Amino acid sequence: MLGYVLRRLLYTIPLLLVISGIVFLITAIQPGNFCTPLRLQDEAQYQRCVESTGIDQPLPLRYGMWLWGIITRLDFGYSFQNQQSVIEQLFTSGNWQSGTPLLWTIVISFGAMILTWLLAVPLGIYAATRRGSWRDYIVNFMGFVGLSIPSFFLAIALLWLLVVVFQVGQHCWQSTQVGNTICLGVSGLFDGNLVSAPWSWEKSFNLLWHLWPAMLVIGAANFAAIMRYMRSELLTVLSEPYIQTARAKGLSERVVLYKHALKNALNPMISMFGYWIPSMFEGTLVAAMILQLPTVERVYWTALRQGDQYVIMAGLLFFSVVLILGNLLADLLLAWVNPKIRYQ
Amino acid sequence: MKSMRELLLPQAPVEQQPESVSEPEPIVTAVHSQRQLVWARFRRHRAGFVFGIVLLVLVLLVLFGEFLSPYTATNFHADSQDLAYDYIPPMIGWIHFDGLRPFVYGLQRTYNPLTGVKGYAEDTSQKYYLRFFVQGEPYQFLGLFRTDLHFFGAGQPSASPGQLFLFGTDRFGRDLLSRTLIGGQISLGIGVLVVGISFAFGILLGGLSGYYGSGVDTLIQRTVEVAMSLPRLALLLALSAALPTELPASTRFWGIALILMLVAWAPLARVVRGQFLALREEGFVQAARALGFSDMRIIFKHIVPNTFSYLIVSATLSVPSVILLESVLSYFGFGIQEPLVSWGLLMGDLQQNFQYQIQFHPWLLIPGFFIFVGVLSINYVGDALRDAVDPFTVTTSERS
Repeated sequence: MLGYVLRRLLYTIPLLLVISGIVFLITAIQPGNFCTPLRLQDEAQYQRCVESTGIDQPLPLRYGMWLWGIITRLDFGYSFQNQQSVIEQLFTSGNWQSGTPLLWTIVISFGAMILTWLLAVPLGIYAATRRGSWRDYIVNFMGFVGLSIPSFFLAIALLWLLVVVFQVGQHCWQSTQVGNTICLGVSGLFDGNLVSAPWSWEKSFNLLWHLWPAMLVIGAANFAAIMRYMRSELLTVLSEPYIQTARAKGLSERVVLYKHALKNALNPMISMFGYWIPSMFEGTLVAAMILQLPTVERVYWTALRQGDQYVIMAGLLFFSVVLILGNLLADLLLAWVNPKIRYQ
Repeated sequence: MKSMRELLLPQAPVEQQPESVSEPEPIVTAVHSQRQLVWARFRRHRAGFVFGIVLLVLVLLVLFGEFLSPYTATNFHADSQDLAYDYIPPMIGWIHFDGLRPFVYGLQRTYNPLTGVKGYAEDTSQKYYLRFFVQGEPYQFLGLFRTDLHFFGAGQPSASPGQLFLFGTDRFGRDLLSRTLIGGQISLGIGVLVVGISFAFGILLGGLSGYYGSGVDTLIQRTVEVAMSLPRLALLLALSAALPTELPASTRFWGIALILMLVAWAPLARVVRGQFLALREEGFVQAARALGFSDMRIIFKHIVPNTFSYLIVSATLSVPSVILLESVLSYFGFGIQEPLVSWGLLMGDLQQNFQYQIQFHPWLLIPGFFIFVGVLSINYVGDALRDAVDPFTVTTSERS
């Protein structure tokens, strides 16, 4: 087993190298770079910008220097926009009061993930045990809805419902367009006056109130997938002969379900855990933009719009690493729960 | 009571009755082709069947969008003083009936000095009757010929206040209903286009990989692995930012389609490879090989037909994610661009001054429902197809 783990870990090194090349190439060929806007104003300033950022260097040289920096010093470059290191910009900017992007990404993505699993697994069991009934159909339909609703649409529709229809928004400000106050209390992570306030009960409750729409948006698609998967796994197990045997020897349906069927149905579910990590991050990417969440994803968005190349590269690398780690975790869990898998 | 021995032993064959001399009973056996069996199983999946009809209606609505909608997708509408009919709310509730004849009243601008909100109201002084087959803004019918015949509308000249904007208008006074119906052509079309091409590519690569194995397999599998280790959405965003900015909209459309193919082909190739690996060792393939058939003949005449229904199902099930990805890209302004329209792009109008838009122009959300319904029906149809093609797996639907 240990050899298998080591081999898998070693294998990710060439994979990451190839990916770093792809990521670099995609970002570097983007037309118009960070300095382009300056060109319109002042040619000399543009030249200075190009020289200081080194954008005009040949691509292989830049790639080599970038990679060398990462390998030797964990230096992912720096943000042209904010003149700070990429690591700081992407992950650790902010303070104790407002939290850092990486912290929020982890809290939001994994929070949504845990919540999703806590809801999806019981519902999947519920649907499977009531197979063919109208309850099953309703749960099933909910699953399809979750799979089919575009996450950005869900986010906007939620905002609209909460703020305009039910008017439960908290954060109001004077609008220049219409002169009246507009309330949009569910975007961001805190109400405006609480962002830099010290932690308190009020601030924590406020955070929870802002978090749940984000969780819903991020979790919807995965919720549906996990629930459907749980349901079909359990149905497969319930049709196995050993379940029939358990019933035949007079065990109560409870025992059959929870002691025999569920254990076997949950095994493959656990191994799938890792596969859902990347799609959670994908969900966070959309939610971060619409719900204004201060996460790594939001920094990535901003960098994309500003052409802040090294931040884009590091962001892409970060998401790739998350994906690879998720897959790795899934493979290891699969090998762990299923002794039939050969470690070759 | 039968003895144990009797129970365990197979029943003795029943004594053959002596053949009667009269005419033998006609043997009635219903012979169903594979296609009929699949169709019968598909019909039995009730939700799949219903959503199949929904999908068919949606496709027809979108395909004949130019004809069915009262306006074109790109025409600006303005009143006689050349002031745009911007942000007119949906007029579905403003249709009245004179007996059986539907009509709308003219549009009148309103202004609330307290809130500063501009709006529209009905000017009840004149009625404009709605008619079928009216002449309106000219368009290309299915790209074949030019016509100005629309299925329904108020049939008034463009500056008249008697207009019919069933879903309302956007900031330039463009009709949202027309834009939604026509926008579906790209939204649904790009899903089919991208999956179709990456599917062909996937069959080629996955087939080569699964059939030949060894070196080719390793090379292709490593490529697939790299492609699947890249974060889909973040990569798409970066790639579409890498498209040259001054591309014409139609070229950009193909660029976006190409980018979507880059993320869509790998999972399909993996599915194809799995199927080829499984079938390669089957008897009929061995037999074909023993007969000395060429590899291409074995691949395309023996293996592909045997797994085609399964592959079609996986292709169908990967259409929704492409549609969703395109809509996300277009919503954020990274996807296709005006003057082309897609459902995601239409919702993108919300983004400028989001808080204001969402509060006062919520009808801009309507195209999102179309994405939702379209993707939902494709998901259901794909699910029903999977059950119909492969009756052995236990899936979400019931076939009791």
